[in-house]
Amino acid sequence: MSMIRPGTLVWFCIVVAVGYAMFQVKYEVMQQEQTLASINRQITDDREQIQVLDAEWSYLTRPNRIEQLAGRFLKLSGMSAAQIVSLGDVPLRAGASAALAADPASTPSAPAAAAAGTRLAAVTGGAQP
Amino acid sequence: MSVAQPREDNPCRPRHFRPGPAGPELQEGPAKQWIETSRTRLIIAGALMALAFLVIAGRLVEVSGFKAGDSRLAHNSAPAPILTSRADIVDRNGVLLATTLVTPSLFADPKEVLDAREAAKKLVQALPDLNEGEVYAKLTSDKSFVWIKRQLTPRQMAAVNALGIPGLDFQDEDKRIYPQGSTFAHVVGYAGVDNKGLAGIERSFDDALRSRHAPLQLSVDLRIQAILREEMAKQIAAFDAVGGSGLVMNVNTGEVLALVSLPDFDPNDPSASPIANLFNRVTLGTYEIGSVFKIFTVAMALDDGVTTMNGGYDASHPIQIGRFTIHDDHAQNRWLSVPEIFQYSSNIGAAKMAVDVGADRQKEFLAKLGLLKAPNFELPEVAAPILPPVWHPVNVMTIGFGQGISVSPLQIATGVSAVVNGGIYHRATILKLPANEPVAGRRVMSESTSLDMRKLLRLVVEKGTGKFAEAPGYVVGGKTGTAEKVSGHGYAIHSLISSFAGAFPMNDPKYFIMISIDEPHGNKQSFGNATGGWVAAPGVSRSVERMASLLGIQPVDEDSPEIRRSLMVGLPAPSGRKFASN
Repeated sequence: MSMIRPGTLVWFCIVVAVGYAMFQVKYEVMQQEQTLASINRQITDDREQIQVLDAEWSYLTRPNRIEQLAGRFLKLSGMSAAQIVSLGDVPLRAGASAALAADPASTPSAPAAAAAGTRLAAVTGGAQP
Repeated sequence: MSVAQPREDNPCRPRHFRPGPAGPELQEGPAKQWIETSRTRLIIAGALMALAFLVIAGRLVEVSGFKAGDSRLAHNSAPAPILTSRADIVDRNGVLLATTLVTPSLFADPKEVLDAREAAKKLVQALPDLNEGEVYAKLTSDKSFVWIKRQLTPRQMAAVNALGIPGLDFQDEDKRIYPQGSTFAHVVGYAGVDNKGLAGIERSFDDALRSRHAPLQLSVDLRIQAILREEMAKQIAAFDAVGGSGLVMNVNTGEVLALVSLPDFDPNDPSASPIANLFNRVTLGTYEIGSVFKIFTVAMALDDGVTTMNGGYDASHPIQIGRFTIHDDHAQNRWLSVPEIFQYSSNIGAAKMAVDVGADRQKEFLAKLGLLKAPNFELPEVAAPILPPVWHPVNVMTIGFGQGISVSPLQIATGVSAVVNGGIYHRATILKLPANEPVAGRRVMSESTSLDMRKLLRLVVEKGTGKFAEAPGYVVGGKTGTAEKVSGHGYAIHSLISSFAGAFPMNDPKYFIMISIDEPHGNKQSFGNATGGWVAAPGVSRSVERMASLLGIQPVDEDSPEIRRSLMVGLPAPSGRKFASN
């Protein structure tokens, strides 16, 4: 009977180890692929769901439906052009204009502030139905 | 094997056994020959094996080293996109107008159905819109595949599954859904059950929608469309009319923001509506639009230089030409200035203006505004105008005030847009154009003519026949029109088409708006009137009020000096040129 040389043993071990590792990696890859496929399926399902929900959203936000709901639940009416003013037309707050009026050096005069006040009153008055 | 140890020194060797020679030593004759042959064979076999291993090694290096890029993993890493058979259609803000959903369809294999009578009975209970007799006939046919019902809802599918009938199965099919229902019926159109576009954008972009994936974006705006449709429906109901057409267009690009044709239909179920409702009045309908056409006549006369804003015509007597008499509806019976002709909508004045321009130049001008041939538009339902076969002098006159020529509301919109926007004609489009890019157009009249026309259109709303179109803050300008519908050989006096076509804000026109109501009947509120000024103009007023802020138009004070000055019409002093008694 002949003896097994240490070199042979080493090579044998390496072959076994490599074989084991290879199958290990293979199974792992298979598993990962399965996970990937199921995630992809999930994404496709979700996308389909999103498409359905998009359609539903578009259906539920039809302008005439929103208008009906607004009429039923909100105490708002159509806006008129008189309710839209530019930022420049918005008068200063009462406190701020008073402070400015108290300072003689500042430009806005008391009549201007008063005029701004009445304009505000007119705007809010117009807003009421 | 173990030659390392000399044979004689092996202590375990039995004394009586002398080993024979282990290898072929000192062989002679045929034995030596055999050994030579086997050695050669061994070498050849070894070489072949080595070659095979070399090939495998080479392949290994190639696969792992050079082909790493196209491994299977790289393909699998992205989820498959949903492959529906048609792309979505969205409005200019991305709101869904048409989409495709995967829905189950129910089919049966009659050979596998055990009790057809029982199955048919159960199926009709689950799907009440089926006919039991028909289902029974299908289930007893000798085919191996019959559709029972296409495109079920999830609830219906669950109900059929709950029946547990053998031989029934589902197949996924694409179903086209129109979430906005009838609001965009005539724009989007519809597709049949086999996903073929049959009308509207669905038809004209059928191939594109099948092949593309990204949604198709239209220039229409859902909010504007809904407002216009609602206000038109109100007017149609109030005046007991048969229908109407309406349009909102960006005058500087030609983009259509709203296109309404009433009555309409539900594209989810087009067969439920009468076939007449499928007719698109805005693009396929052509109408003698009446006085609205005077916009073109006056613009033509001003641009041609045959008259000016200070000029005028004698409108004191009706015109007799052949067997026709042309008279005014709002007769002033005197000399009228050009602004007055427009303001009072004088047929006599418009006819005389057209005669001054002449047939050739009238044709040329109308052709420039795209009124003499079918417009190039994206919808398949586009009509060519109806023109007189020969352009007689009487035709020149009647066309001057909008009779004897039938054009579609779409053509009116495109033409009027060019009149008010500074004189540039843009092709009408229903596809969204990229923002902030110059739009191709061609000049059809001078800028000063366009400015004069803006003043005149504003005058009509401020002081003329279009007062009810006023929307405070938005400087609406436009022209009313009331035309008798052509019926048989003549005109039907009591079936009218009442229209208002205009633009806003008139100091810097941004949007064209038009409402045209078909066969309105005067009511108590209108004191029996059914003219454009009473029927269409109030609808325009309410529409503009509601849509202007959505369109980003800031209200202005019409009475401010700048606006007044920019749109003021210098009325000539009524000096000694007056005619008749007035």
